[in-house]
Amino acid sequence: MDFLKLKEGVLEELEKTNSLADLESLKIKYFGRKNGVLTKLFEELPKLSLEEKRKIGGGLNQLRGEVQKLIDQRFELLQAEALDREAHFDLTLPGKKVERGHLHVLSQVNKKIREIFLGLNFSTVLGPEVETEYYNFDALNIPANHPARDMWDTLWLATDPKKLLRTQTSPVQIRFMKEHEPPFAIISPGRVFRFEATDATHEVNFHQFEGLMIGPEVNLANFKFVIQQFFDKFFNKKVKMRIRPSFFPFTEPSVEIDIQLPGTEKWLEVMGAGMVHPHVLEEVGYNPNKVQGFAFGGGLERFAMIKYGIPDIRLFYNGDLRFIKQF
Amino acid sequence: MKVSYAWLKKLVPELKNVKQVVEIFENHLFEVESFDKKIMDLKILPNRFSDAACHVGLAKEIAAITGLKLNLPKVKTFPKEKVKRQFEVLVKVPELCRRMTARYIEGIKIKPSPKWLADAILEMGLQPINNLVDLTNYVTFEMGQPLHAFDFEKLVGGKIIVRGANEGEEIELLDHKKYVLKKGMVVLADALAPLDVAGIKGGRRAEINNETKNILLVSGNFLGSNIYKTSRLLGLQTDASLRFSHDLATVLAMEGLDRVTDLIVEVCGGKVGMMADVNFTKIKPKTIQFSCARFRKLTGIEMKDAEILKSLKRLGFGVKGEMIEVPLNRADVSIFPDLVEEVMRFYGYKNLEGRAPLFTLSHANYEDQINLEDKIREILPRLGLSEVYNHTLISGTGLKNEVSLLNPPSGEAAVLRSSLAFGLLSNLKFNIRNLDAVAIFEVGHVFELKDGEVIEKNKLGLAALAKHESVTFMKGVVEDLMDGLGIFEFEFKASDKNKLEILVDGEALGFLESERASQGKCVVVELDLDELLKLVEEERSFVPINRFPSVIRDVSFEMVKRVSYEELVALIRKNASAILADIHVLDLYNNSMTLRLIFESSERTLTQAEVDLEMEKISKAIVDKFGVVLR
Repeated sequence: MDFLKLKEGVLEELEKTNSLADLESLKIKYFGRKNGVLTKLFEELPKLSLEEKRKIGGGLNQLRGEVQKLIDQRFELLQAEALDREAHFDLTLPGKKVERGHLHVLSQVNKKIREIFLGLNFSTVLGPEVETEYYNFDALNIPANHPARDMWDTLWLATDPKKLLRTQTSPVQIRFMKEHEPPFAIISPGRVFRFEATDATHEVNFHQFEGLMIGPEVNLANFKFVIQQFFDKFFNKKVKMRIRPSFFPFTEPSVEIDIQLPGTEKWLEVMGAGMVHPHVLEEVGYNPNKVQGFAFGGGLERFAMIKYGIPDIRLFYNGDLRFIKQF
Repeated sequence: MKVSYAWLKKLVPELKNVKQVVEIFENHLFEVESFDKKIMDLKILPNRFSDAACHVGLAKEIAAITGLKLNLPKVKTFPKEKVKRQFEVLVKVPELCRRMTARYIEGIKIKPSPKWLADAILEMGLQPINNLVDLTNYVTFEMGQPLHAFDFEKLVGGKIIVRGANEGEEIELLDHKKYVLKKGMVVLADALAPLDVAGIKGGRRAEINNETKNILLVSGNFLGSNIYKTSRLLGLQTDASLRFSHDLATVLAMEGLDRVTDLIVEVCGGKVGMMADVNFTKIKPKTIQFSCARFRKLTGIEMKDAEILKSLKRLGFGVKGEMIEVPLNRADVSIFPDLVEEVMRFYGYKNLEGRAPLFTLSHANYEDQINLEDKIREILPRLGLSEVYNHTLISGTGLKNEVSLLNPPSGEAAVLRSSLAFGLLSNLKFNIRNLDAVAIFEVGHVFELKDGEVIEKNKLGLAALAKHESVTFMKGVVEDLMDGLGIFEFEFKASDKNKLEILVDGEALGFLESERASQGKCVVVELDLDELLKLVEEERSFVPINRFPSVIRDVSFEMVKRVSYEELVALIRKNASAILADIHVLDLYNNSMTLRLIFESSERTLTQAEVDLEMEKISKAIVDKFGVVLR
């Protein structure tokens, strides 16, 4: 029984112990109830002869005391270091990064728009992306073989000549009107599709949100009020608005809206709008002499790009988390 | 459309500068896409081609809005001469050609155009050709009526016939290209063959050249949709086809003919002969019953009757009380709201003041589907998943049930996606280059062809990729999601080697699939949101909190042969009593597993002894059956 060697072994191990946890493990290694080195040695004692017991017992006891002392010393040292570290904790250390998921900026913008309009008593409704020619064009007073249809470059399905990918979300409004009576106010957001060459401002698929308010006396001045509210709340600033005459087959009068953000000079075209055309009202079974109202539409990506300074529409669709996690 | 400031100034001499004109256009008429000191590029709205897609029309608008003096060219100053030559014009397709006017002019001299004419042509972005051709173009830009001139000597039979083309008839046009015509297309022909494609482009056969002396001018009017269709079918879009496609007013045909005649006599010389005007039904100007009260109701503007009617008068409408007469060239005005738009344009939208609507209150809300999606978007990010948006259109994979496009914009956008998995997998592989682990989701529509019908579904896709494994992570996400949505009766069921079906109430609502990628293991989940929507419950019930403490025991072991977690747990539960409340996987590394077992009773505190007994039974069972080595 080389007590010296054992003691040297303990010292070596103690040198390598740099944490209170490691020290605890060391303690268990030597003093552990079941498998501790010293514990086992003491267990062997009763098996020895009286003479051997006398020879080893004292030395073993002394060893136990010394090892305990060494361990205690080490404990003091480590604990003092730990307390010192705690007392002088470096507050300038950076915060631990919390890994959370991010919603896509378009979902955030969509939600914000829905909420603003909900506050103006507009409900949100949805519809299918694959539409029929009737709901996407005919019911909206956009006849076939007319240059007006060129305003929307259409993607047609190979499986059915009358089916297409919707070019706007107005078909949802037609569907809604066929099932409901005025007065009502609705928003119809959703994905739309155009035959486009993709570049920084054009994508084959993108998102629109369109609004519709119909009632016995809903008028153009009401539209200006509602849309000014929307712009101010969406951009969180007082936005200047410019209304220009335009043309859409489903509204008359038709207008286009430009906005100017505070501190900037450029006018940005953001929306088309107008009073719903009597042919459209008649098509859904309303009497244009009894009800009237306005419709408007804008692009979700466009609004997001303006609000957040996003330069390229393709960023929304390339799945790059370095973009998505910015919002 | 290019508009020349100098030209407009000739017509409205009091104009000050281009900026002034641009402002008038933008506030009262059309968007100006670009402009410089000389030329403005206007976006002519589709409904104003009959009257405002030309300099005279625009000048009239400017004069009406500003009150400035209008200096229109005088027309029909050409002298009546004794020219004997006769010709005939026949219209065989009266519904497609609504008017055909023609005039014979004898003894002209083809020369290079005078400077004023060449300059005007250049300003419009064209190259000057000769005085005659340039004049026909000039008058088109001036008055909005497309015109054409034939070399009379090259006509056969002294007749112009406006007829439908015969299927397969060929013609060589002025661009030196040959076109094959189809039935339904309209041509101007002589006794021999077609001379031009009506309303679109002239043919070579009766082309004007430097030797031409005698000409036949033609100025017609055609059904817009027919011209539009023909131009699309031939792949031929010209200034003329663009104008005619928008359905011009028939009055313009004669106005254009007279004006160009005037100018030709002045510039090219020649004597004016016979004129023909065929199939013209003189139309009475439309009258619309206007109502100032209704105007105020539709717009919400407190404008006095006198002011409203004055604006219509200034814009060229005939005003008799509240009966409004529409000028013949305003093909875009036919109903009350069209007049409202006219007044608004004149008035200018700058002065429109916003007014809060007086409206019947109702409970505004979001459709259920939106509420479900919002809830999903609330839950998933806090589990670490970020949302992506992928393209709906993808390259075709050749599957039978794919929905494909008739006119795909490119090979990569030819087919509608039938699953969110394609996009998500490529998102994973892209992002793993920059991150240690990727976890994403997408909500979107997918499409399938079933029995010839397009089935459109709303789906939720989840995907994760990590160097070790992502299956347990994803299963945890699905469990948390289902719990958050109030779906408590769901299960995973093994379906294929790397696939689990997700069942709710026994119905398959989706799947979880794992696959190896070069960067680690991908796992994708897809759930049918339309079906999920039907199953979502709002109600939860309170579960009483146990007042007696639970006892936690861990059991670690080494697996010697392949055993599934499912089998282990089934055996453990079989050999444990009811006090075993829960089992977790605490650790799993290669074949070493540590399970955490939680024991509790709702009636009493458990003793260590009875838990020890349970652990003994459990340990013995798994060792005996699966040969695991306890650690």
